[in-house]
Amino acid sequence: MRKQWLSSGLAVLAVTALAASAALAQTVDTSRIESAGQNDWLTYHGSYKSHHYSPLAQINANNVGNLGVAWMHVPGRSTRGLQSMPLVADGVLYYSGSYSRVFALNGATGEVIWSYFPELDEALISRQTHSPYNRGVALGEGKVFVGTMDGRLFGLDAKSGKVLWETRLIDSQKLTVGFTGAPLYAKGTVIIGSQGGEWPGRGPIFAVDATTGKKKWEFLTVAGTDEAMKSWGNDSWRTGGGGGWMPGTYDSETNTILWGTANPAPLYDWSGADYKTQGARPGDNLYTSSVIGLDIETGKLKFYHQELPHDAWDFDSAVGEFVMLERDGQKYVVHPNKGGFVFVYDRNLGVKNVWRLVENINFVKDIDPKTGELIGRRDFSAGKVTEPPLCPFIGGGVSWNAGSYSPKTGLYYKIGQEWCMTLEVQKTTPVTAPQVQLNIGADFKMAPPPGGEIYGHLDARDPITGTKKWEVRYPEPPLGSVLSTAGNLVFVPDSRGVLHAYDAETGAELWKHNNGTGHQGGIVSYSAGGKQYVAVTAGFGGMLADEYAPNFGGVYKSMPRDDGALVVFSLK
Amino acid sequence: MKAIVPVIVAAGIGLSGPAQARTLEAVRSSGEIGLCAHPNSLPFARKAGDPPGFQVELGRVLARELGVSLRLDWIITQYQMRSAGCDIVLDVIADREAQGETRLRISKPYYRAGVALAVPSSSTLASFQSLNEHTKVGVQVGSVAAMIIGQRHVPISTFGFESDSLEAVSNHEIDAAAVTPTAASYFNLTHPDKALRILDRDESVADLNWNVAVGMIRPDDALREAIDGALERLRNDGTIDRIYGRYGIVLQAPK
Repeated sequence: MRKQWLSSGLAVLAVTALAASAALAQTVDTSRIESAGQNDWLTYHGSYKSHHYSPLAQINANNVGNLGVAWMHVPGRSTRGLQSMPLVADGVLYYSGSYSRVFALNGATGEVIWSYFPELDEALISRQTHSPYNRGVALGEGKVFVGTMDGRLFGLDAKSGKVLWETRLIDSQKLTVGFTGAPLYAKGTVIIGSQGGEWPGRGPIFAVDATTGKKKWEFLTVAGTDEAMKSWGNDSWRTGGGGGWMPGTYDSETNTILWGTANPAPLYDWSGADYKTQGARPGDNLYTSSVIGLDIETGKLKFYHQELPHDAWDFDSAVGEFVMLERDGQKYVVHPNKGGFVFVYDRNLGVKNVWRLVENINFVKDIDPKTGELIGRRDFSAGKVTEPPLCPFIGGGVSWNAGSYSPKTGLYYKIGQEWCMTLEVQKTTPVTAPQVQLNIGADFKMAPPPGGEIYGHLDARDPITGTKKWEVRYPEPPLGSVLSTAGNLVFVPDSRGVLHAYDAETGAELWKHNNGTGHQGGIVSYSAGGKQYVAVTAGFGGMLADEYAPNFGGVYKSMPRDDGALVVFSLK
Repeated sequence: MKAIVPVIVAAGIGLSGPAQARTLEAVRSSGEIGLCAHPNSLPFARKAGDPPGFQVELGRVLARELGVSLRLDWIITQYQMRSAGCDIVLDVIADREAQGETRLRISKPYYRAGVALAVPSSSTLASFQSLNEHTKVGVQVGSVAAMIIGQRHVPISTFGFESDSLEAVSNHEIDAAAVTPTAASYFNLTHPDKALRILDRDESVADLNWNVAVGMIRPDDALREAIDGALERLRNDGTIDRIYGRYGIVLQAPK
């Protein structure tokens, strides 16, 4: 149901103010996102460079102690918390909540300019597993773009929230999956990837014309080319999963969309070491758990690297940001994989280096830093996997939320997750479905690393070599994104609900504030009316966050999993 | 429209904690018993339209036997079962290992099922034993049947839906489909012009055969006994056979 907050004089005033500022504002286009003006946050990853960095320095290491709450917004109906990344253009903050509810707020005051609540197929959404959260919107050409769990993409008027077009891209009734990730806008095109890794589809990534909403192309992450089709034995491409559920980025120099893809289905494979010829999906299973480069005009595959051939562990490549940077005349793309390794590529996704962010990894012995080849992989047959437990836990060494690169310090700030799991492969039956044949499934249980404790850490590292400068540890892995700023600050929203600010050079904690509930979403900085703000989404719940109460107890026992707020800070 | 089954939901994450036990007394005092069913999965169940599916029909007569009405809770995976608040699920595989994660209590079985081969009427295939390296068999993704048949070096072709593999057989894209007799029988009912031959299950392979029962979510002994008693009466008077028969399915006695 759509609601326009125009009935109160206050809201009308806000709209008038917006109209005045909009008259001065340029439209959000490709070049503006590319240049990433310092007052704005125009795309999920901040800019196409995906640094998650703000060049604002009004809030800095010397005065961050004076940071306080400027305003808050409670979106309501925050089933499974809040996971989205706010965007800001010309002083207006746009963000999404669960059920793809979209809000446009005055960035200085938090006043609601408009809101849009899409009418969704609630019955379908109540049946979904990875639902109903939404991880963000995209801006472009005076529009706000948002995907829905029931398989649609909306184009809304950025000034009013009015629906300009909606396009159904997925038959979610049949395939169950929809969209939870933020779209990406570039060159008149909106790109969005579907969920899929646990469901037997083919994981499409779509391109839609930003003006008309008409679908331009679709790339299937499962067997999207003739070459890839050969990497799925037993016709298993039909049920291969895949998808690209988090946003990638755009390389304007090569006119290429860079995107990460999800894991193959079924997740468990009983192949043992003979995965090339045996098991549920014999072969490498292209292009799952890969990074891919697609021509933005045609959707044709230009290049790719499969980070995990025949991923048998659910360690997506969909989760990682594509950090674009230059060093000594070389152009690099840095991409973390859910397994806990960080891949360094050239701009054509040729492997330049691979380094470990996470200490506890044993799904492979190593990854060759020159070729990206997996060394000593651990493949399973039916039965129990307990000694040693598999590391990392299925939640990954890296989660879906983004790290941050500061061009000022030259450091990459990224959360690592140290946890493992026991795995029991067993016969199961989804009892409520029209189940048909006894299935081979797997039961996963979180476990501490061998000889150690579960913990999370923020690392400050050289993005190319992986050399660690400093580390901050947390008793439970943080699940929120990281923000660095020109004020020599790194912000980390943790799982207990505390937002921390650290010195970007040393890791010394300079400030903290308890937002009252766990974080698992985005954090950005922007300027409105000459004042710098930091905005973070708070609100816990979801497939991974739901594991915290039974495994860690403490504050998580009473933490709500259907609540959330956007909390915005400025200097007092 | 078809329903889809997640073979594995990542991490086994999301199974809610145990709900409070539902006693027969509580069911009777509330006047209803809740059935969890899939909303779009004929012949099993569907939310809208007629016929409603054999699970809905059987649920109604079971409820009537208990002196209450039936409440339908529409869900798609076992992970939603406990939060849905239902009391029973139908067509549950009576296998302790298979139910390990669901923690369901199992009634006395009311029929026998498993994996059968559906082949074109002209096929020379007579049993599982006649499959070889030249026969391509449609299997459901991630199923035990896929594993067992694949390990015998019989070429397999993976499908997400049994109905798709049955269509592929009728179009001669594959030689056979390893499916439940339930799916094959309903396919024949709804595609009389394309009817397939359903070969007998191979009882020598334990994992390809099972009894089917009512799954109960934390019942007390009285509720379990009441459901067992109702099932026995409905089997003896032919009600269960008649319900399944309306969907083209001939039930075999449990073993």
